[in-house]
Amino acid sequence: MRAVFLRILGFVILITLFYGGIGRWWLTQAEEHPPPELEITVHTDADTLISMGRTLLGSRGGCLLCHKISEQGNTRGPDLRGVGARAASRKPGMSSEAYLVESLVNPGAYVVEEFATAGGASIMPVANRPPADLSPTELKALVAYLQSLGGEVTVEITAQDVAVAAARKEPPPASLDTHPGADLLTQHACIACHDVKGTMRLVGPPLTNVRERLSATEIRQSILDPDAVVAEGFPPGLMLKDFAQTVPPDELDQIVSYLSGEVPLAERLSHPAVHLVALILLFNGGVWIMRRLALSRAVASGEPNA
Amino acid sequence: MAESRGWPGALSGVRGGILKISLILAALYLVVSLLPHVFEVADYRQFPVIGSRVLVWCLAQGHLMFAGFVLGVPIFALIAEVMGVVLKSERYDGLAKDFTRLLAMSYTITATLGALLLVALVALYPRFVAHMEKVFDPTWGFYVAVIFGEALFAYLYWYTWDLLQGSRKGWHVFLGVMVNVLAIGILVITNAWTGYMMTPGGVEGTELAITVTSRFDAFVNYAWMPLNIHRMLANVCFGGAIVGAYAAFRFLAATDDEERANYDWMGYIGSFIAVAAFIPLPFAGYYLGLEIYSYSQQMGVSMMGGSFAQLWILQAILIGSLFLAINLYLWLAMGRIPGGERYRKYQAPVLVVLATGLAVWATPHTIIATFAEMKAMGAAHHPRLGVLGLMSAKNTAVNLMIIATFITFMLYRRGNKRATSAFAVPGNWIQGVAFVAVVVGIVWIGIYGYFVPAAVRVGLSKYQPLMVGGFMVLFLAIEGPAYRGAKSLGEIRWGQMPRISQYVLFFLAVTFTWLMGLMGYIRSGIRQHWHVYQVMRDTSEGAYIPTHGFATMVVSIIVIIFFLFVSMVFALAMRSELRERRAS
Amino acid sequence: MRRLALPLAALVWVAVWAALRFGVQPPIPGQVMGLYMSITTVAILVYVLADQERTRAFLAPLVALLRESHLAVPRLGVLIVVPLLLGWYTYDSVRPRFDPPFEARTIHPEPPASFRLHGADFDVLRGHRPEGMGVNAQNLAAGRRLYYRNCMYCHGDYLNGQGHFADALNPLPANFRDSGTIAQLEETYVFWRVSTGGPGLPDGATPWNSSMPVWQDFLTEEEIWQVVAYIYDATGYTPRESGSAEGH
Repeated sequence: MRAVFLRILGFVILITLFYGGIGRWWLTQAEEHPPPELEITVHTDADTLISMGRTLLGSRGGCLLCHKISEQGNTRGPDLRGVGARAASRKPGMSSEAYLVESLVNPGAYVVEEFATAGGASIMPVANRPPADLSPTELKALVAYLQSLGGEVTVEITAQDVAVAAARKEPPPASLDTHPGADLLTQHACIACHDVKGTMRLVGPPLTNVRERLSATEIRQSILDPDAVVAEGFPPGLMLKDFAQTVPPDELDQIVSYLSGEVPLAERLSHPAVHLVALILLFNGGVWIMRRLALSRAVASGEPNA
Repeated sequence: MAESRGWPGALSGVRGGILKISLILAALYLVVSLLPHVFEVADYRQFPVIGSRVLVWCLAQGHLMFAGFVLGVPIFALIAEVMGVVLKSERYDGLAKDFTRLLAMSYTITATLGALLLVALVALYPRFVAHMEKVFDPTWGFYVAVIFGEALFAYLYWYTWDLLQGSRKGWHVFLGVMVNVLAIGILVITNAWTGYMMTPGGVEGTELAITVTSRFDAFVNYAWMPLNIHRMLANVCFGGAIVGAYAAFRFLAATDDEERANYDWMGYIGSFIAVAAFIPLPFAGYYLGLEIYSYSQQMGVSMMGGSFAQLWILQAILIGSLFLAINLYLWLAMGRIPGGERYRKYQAPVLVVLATGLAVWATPHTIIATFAEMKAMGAAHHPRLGVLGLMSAKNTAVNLMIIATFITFMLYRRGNKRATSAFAVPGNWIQGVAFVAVVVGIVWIGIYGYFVPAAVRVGLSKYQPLMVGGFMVLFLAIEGPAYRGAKSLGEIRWGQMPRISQYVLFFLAVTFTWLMGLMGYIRSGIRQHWHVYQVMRDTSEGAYIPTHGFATMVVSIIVIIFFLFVSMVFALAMRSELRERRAS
Repeated sequence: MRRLALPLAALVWVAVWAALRFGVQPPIPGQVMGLYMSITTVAILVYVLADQERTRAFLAPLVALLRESHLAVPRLGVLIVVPLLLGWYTYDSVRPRFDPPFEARTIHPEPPASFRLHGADFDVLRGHRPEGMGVNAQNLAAGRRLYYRNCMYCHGDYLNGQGHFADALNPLPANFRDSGTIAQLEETYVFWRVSTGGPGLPDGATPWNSSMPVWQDFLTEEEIWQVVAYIYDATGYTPRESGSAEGH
């Protein structure tokens, strides 16, 4: 038997290597690498900058959480259509590029009146800090895109920008938190004003320690009626009051459960571990009971060997 | 396994099996939920020496092969059992039991490989797993439930074989049906995940910032149905081939003529199943390819004309080898049929068709040529051979090869019969005319395909298999009455096969396995640097397409490891059989 | 017949080789020739193995040659010639040559999802030919003019890749009349190839040394569509329909 086994094993290896060999020595060999991630250099042309700026606007920049660039979109901040034309004339003596950069890194310097808070402040987070955390080159790409909306693109990347951008260390990977509430915080733009990473102070109070400060009911109240109780050290009237209308009830439940850490019973029962244990008990128990029944029947009928 | 017999004994066996699956799943859950606490947050982690990609590749392919085996075998085990009931043949019942014996030994290996795969994915590709979790969370619990159900019914099916005989056979067949229903459930759920990675639907956004707009669309994605059909057929085919290899091993290791006769027969049945499921397989594959092409031109071109184009030459060689091996096996088998020598004269023409078909199929669309050769051709396409590089020619070739193989099989069936019915001569004439008509028709469609737009050509290509199928049905319909009451020239001398024929069976099994590995690589590889095509980018070190040589060598190693595992299954099956024989 | 299995097998092999070598013009490239002869060899071996008596008859002369004492002289000859042949084969395959190396070129590499066209993104996968750029008399007339002004020098006045400059180029210009080129492709694909030329090709099938110019630098988007319409109309092919991937 062993001789047969070894002979067959040899035969199997032979055929396998024959096919592998055709691939290795008869076909042509080339590796194909994915296209490199775009990097901004001093040679990057304006078109590419604009297209990258557009991408940042919708992704890491998070701008579209409050601004809009089409008929549909959010209206927490000014409509960006035509901003390239407006930027040149907002502040006398200031070029459109300088104005746009200032608006991004120092949002409070000039606030469009209808969007200002009661105290005349801006609710916009700073673009070159977290959560957006844009590098100088990315900032310029974004400005290039904004200029392209109705104005002339004048942005030029300098060697210094590239050097500063390269010196910044790699951003840490995004947390892999899969709680649906984590996504909803982004989706409803909460993270624009509330810090969720414990790294800085934004317009609103941080959410990292909210479960120590507030109960689930209080969190819910703070979302639906922001000015009922205002966190110490933060001015009232800043937070939008339309969340009761814009956030669907089931999503609100998930946000509250995520922030408070208080998991409702129904959700606790839908935990995968509960399912798994239930299935294991069900099937093992089922077979155990079936075997008991069979045993007692065998004993009753006096079968031997049972 | 308990020594006691009867129902309690059988149920102890089932209890043991379920307990094993429970332990694997519980351990899996614990490990997977502990992993995030062990490692720091990262998008990817590297596996030492061979790298994450090759590890996941090997585990996934190995798991898939065993899964294909345990999902494919119950289908024909059940059919063999039902045939045993219908024909009142204990021989078929024994055969079905032999099939199932292999099955019972394979579940644990399948589950273990699956668990290892999941652990590897969670540990090495956490970001990807997080994405999949968002999209498919609700299907996972359901999947585990179906696995438990499948294991329960499969173990019941196996352990109650001798208990549910005679008047209670109906219940046993019911168990077999349940095994198959749940097996298809498993297949369909996992195909949704695979299909989603290739042709995603039902989600908005990219990377981890996605919202699931329709879980139904994510599940029932473009590639889902073609994958279901393709994999189901391939599983049956693969199962048959492995069973054939088992029989070949037993034949070669047999010590007496009775055993040899039995395993000769089992090998014949196994290879028959493999071939029967293999014949529609190219069309299912063609359907899958079309769906991929219509989902994304980029993926389609990359598969057929771009980075992976050359691997299709290798695929043609593999399938051509299968056709040649099947015919060789049947001819060798005819040597043990009295009267089989009458059909020897057809070997040469069939071989000419097969060799020509294979040559057409393997002719590359893009020929690799030296500059001097290219100059002589006047273009990168050879003016004569370029014609053979296109789908029309290849479809025609494969259809003719199928017909040729079918004819060989029919001659094998006629082996020891001499027709006496009055219908035999006219019947033969009708068969002959139909044969000529269908060959002319297939070739005509093949040529006509060059003169019509691509869309029409793709539409036309379905008529070729329909003609082949129609021809087979007609041929068989005539064969019945024509050979009714035929005179037998002698019994088939089961067991009197040259040993080389058993190596041919092994060749079939290895080639099928290797083919599965290659096609699995192509299917997965055409996503290129995407985990989920155009939704989630693969930014790991292994995001590139390796050289063909590297890929085929990995496939080779996977196949060798798979056969080492399979030999373990064989050994377990032989031991269980030995124990059973001793007990009785 | 069966006694002559070995010489017949050798004869068939040589006959197939001669038919392929001398019967097909232009000559079949080496790689394909190797493929065909391998298939022939395997097919002959399968035929020999298919019948036990035939196998024995096939092997008999070989066994005799190695065993029979009266065949000592031919045996010696074979034992000398075979190693020499192998040696010559090895020498031939490693000796330095002046031919450029083999090039694994893919004629139709996979297209990118989108590319830059005159400063905007053009979506190859989901894009469509703009309204009014289809086959009509005006577009065809313009397309023909553009073709003969720009493309004809390489792709030929019969659109068969045999233009004036074709002899100087490697890779050779595409032959649009070949059923394996534009007839197999979607319009947006052809549009992409014309717009970005050689430099726009992906790494897919290196080496990419195509000398096709980046036509978007010379032609407007409309003009490129007109040329595309013309080459389809002139060759009588229609573009491959794009899949109904809408909604995905």
